[in-house]
Amino acid sequence: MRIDQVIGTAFGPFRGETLKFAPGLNVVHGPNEAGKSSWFNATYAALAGRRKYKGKGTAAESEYKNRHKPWSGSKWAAGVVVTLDDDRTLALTQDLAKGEWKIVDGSTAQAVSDAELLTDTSLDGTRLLGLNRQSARSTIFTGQADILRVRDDAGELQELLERAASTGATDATADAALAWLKERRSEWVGVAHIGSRPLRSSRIASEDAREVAQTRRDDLAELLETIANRQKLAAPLGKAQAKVALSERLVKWQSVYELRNRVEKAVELSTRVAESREADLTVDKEKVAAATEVLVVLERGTDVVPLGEGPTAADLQAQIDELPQVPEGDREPRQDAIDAHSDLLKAQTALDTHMQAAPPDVEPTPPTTFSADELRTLADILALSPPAVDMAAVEAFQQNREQRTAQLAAMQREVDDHDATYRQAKVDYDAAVENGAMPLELAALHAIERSAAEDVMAARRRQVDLLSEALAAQENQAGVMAQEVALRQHQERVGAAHAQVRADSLDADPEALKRIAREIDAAGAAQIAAAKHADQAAEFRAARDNRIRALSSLLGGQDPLTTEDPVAHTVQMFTDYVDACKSRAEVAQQAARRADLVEAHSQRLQLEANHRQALSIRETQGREVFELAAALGLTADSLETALEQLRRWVGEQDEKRAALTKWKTDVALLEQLLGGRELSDLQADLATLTADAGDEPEEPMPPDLNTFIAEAKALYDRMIDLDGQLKGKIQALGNALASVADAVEVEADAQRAVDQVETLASCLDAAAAELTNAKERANASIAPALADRMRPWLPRVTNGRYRDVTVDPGDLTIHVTETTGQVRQADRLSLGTTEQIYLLLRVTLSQVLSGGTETAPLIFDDVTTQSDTTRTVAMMELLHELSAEHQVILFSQEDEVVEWAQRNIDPTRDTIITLAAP
Amino acid sequence: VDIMVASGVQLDHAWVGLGAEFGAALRDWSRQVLALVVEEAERHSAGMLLIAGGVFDRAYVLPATVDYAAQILGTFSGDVVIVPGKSDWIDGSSLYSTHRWAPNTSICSSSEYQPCATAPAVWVSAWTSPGGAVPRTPDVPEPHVLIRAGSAGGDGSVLAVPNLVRDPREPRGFAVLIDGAEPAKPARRVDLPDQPGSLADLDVTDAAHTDALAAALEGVFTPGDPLLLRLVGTLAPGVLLPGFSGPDRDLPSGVVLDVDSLSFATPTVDAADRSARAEFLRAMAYTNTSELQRHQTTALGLAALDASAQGT
Repeated sequence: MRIDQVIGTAFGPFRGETLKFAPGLNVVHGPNEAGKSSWFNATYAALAGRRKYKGKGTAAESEYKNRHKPWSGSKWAAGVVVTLDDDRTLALTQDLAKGEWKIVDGSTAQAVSDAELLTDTSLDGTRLLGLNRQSARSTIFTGQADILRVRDDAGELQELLERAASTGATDATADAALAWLKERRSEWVGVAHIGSRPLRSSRIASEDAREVAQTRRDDLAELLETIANRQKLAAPLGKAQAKVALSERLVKWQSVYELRNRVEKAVELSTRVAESREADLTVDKEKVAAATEVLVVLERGTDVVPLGEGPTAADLQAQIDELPQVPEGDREPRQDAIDAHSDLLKAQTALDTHMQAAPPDVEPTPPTTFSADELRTLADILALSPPAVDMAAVEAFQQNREQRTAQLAAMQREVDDHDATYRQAKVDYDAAVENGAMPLELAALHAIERSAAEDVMAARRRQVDLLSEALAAQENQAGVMAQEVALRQHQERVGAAHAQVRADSLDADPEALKRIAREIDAAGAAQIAAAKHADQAAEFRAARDNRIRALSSLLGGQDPLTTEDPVAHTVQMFTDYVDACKSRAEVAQQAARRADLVEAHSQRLQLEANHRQALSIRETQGREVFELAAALGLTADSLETALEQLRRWVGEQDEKRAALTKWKTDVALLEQLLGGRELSDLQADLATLTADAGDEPEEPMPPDLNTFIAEAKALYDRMIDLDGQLKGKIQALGNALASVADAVEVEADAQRAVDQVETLASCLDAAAAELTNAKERANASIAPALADRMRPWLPRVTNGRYRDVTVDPGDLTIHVTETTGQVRQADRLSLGTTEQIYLLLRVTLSQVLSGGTETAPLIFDDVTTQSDTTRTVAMMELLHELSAEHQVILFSQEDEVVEWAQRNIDPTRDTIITLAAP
Repeated sequence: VDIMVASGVQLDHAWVGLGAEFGAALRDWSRQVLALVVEEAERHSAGMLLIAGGVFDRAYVLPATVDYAAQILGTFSGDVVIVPGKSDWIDGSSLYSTHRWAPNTSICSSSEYQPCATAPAVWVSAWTSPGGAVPRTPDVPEPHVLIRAGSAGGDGSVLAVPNLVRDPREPRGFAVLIDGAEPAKPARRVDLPDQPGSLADLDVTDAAHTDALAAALEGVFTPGDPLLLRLVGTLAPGVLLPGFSGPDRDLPSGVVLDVDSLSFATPTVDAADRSARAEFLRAMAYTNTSELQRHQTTALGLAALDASAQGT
């Protein structure tokens, strides 16, 4: 499509003015206020029309109207003539004030159907391009503000894409639809806990209705239950009523029964009284008293029992006379004697036991002077082994020692000789001195003495030297000398031991010596044991003798130790003592019966006296019975017969007396029952009362009629009261109860309303959710289409700097690829490139959204105002490039644009239109 | 002796599916129709009036209503036999048992078929529990008729008597007259005035949009009379049903909507169309929900998209 001309019929400052365009690049140029923006908007309004609305419309719509409606007059209209790609020409006229339009075929002036060209029930020429007035404004109509936005906001590119993507190929934006759904949900549903929107109000109404319905259901249930309870009460109530009636009948019949008993009793008494006479029942009281007394006396007494068996008093006296006297002396062995006897037996037993355990005879001690220890020492010495010595060295040592010993002995003799010589010389000298010898002689003697002294000293020195030498040799041979000493000492000890043993005539065998030593020890021990046993035997014997003396002393005997066998003698004494005690005890036991026999004898004497007295009394009583019986005319041949007859006579008299008493009682009772009336009168009263009492109850008369009556009445009163309560309750509930069905239906309606609102909410939510998902899927689908459309254009409009473009389906961000292969995000490029890509994006969006059914014209309003020369040129080159496929209409006030156009346009398809200054 | 048989007076029944207004009208009619039945029985000189179940709704009936029924039936000159049915089944606590009925009225309380005392050829069976176990068919050699509420057998052995007061979607009710002496003779139908309220079927296939449907609905409404409006045909995808298009489009009170017979059109989507609208319609086609909710959700989404397209 291309726009051939725009007619400003009545739009902003225009009144019937027209602007014609070339098919290629159109540069509409003019100074400020020349009407460029008005023409831009007139073109939009003439092509896209205006949404029909009542009232003020949206703020944007109101602003648009205020800005572009002519200031004077009511008319507001614009028109446009377009040529479609198929060369059809259409003329669109929009009456923006009335919301009317006209579309005619340019060649035939025939009206064209607008059925497919309506947006919001008004003509929208952009639908010829597959767009609508919203998507067209976002793509093919680009204003100065749009470019400014993309300059100032790096996210504008992406926003444009999102807006366009959500718009889709049709006529709606998903975001706005979501907002619509949200608004409807708020209006048609609302929230559950606040406000008066349908969700809350319907729930409240439902709750109220449910409460009313439940109340009525409960009331109805209570009413029906009460009715049922009253019906259940009917049977017990009837029973209670019957019981009351029964109690009333029982009262009447109780009177009948009482009178009937009285009559029957009176009849019985009158009959009995008539059967006897008082005279026949009278008795002789004195005779009866006498007979009774005699019988009582006799019956109170008892027959005399014969005396029992047993010794008589005489027998007992004889036994007493035969009893012995009480003996003197012990009747029981004394305890001290028993203990002494026991001690004696124990002492004798201990002595016997000790003597049985006598030690064996002592073996004779071996004949030796050595003790056992000495023998063991000698045995140990004899058993010693000689020390280990080097015999050769010892022998050599001994030889040396003997030699030195011999030498020493020889020297000693030599010394002794010299010493004797010296002593002689000295004695000679001393004698000479004393004798006053001559000096020469003295000197000679002195010299002799000196020489002898020197000889002594020389001999002494040789002896000392020899000793020194011997000592030195001994030091050198200390080990050998020690061995020699040890061997010698051993030999000396063994030899001494041998000598001692042989001196005692013993064998020098160590073992024999040890055996003798053990025998000596054993003999010693046996002697000690024998001595100890003998000592203890003496102690036991002394103790036994003490016991003998003690027991003998207790038994009063002489010293038994003088006897041959004092033990046997003493024991025999004890046995005799015990036997004597037993004998005395037996005699004493017989003598002790005396007191009992004396007592028995006394009692027997009393018993025999009493028996004789009782026999006498009983005979007297029997005689009186006989005498009285005879007086009463009774004949008896024995006491028993007399007693029997007398008793019978007394019984007969008692019966007569009792009969008389009862006869008198009956007479009194009869008079009491009749009460002064006749028996026939009572019988007549009974007949009348019976007739009035009705049927006789089958039930037995209760034990306590008054209680029975009270209980029956109380039960009946309770039942009546309860029935009345139930009846009143039924009445009250019935009067108060409204239709349950009504309430249930209202409840159901209210619940239906809640369900409907909740379903509506659910549907709105589901629609919003699905629409959100749909929007995201639409984004994902539009992204590759945009990239495909932009890709061929990008190198051309960027002079080959960028060779590829991609659009991210996730967030619709645009990335471009440099020739070097580096990828950049589009909104981070230079302003000029961004503007170029933005314009290109709007073009390609229009193509994508329209589906490529019709080539769309591109209309720009002062889009280079904020650009420098370089960017202006770049943009003009882009637009010129685009004009090869799309008609481009550029409104501009920039001289650079005009100059560029003048240099570069193709007059055959491009044009420069100059608007006059206002 | 002719016997008039009627059924389903439904005193104090709660018509929860029809709404309070419709229900109130039917309850009023229940009381009237009981009197009409007695009147018709007298007019046809029936010797006996037999009510085959449904005298009242046991769950909701008020004792006062039972009083009313007892009085109305007591005015009949002949004998009245009530055979309790499913809604008024009898047991010890039933109002049949606890209430005092007129001397001419007898209540059948046996679930087994038994002959009526005054009409031996008529065998009746009462419901004695809400479950209503089917009784054994009696082996009676003489001609007879079996009556048990709600049990019109397929073999015709049990007399079928429709409810006099019923849901408008059910067939119209009537009473029947049978010959007590010759029960094998075909029963004669006795029509009574129809109950209040009406049923209207509206084909909505041609309603292309919500406004068109609203206009069609407006044409059906009859003020003052309860209406059960049954929508039939196929509803276009974008058409919102009442209750889903704002309070302004809600139905007036007294109108009950029945959409059980309604089918829903499936919107067509161009396979190449990747717009949000097309994606939405595709998604809705696969939503796992009831047909009604799917339709309403789709229609709401389309209404939202249309509204946004129109800038409203």
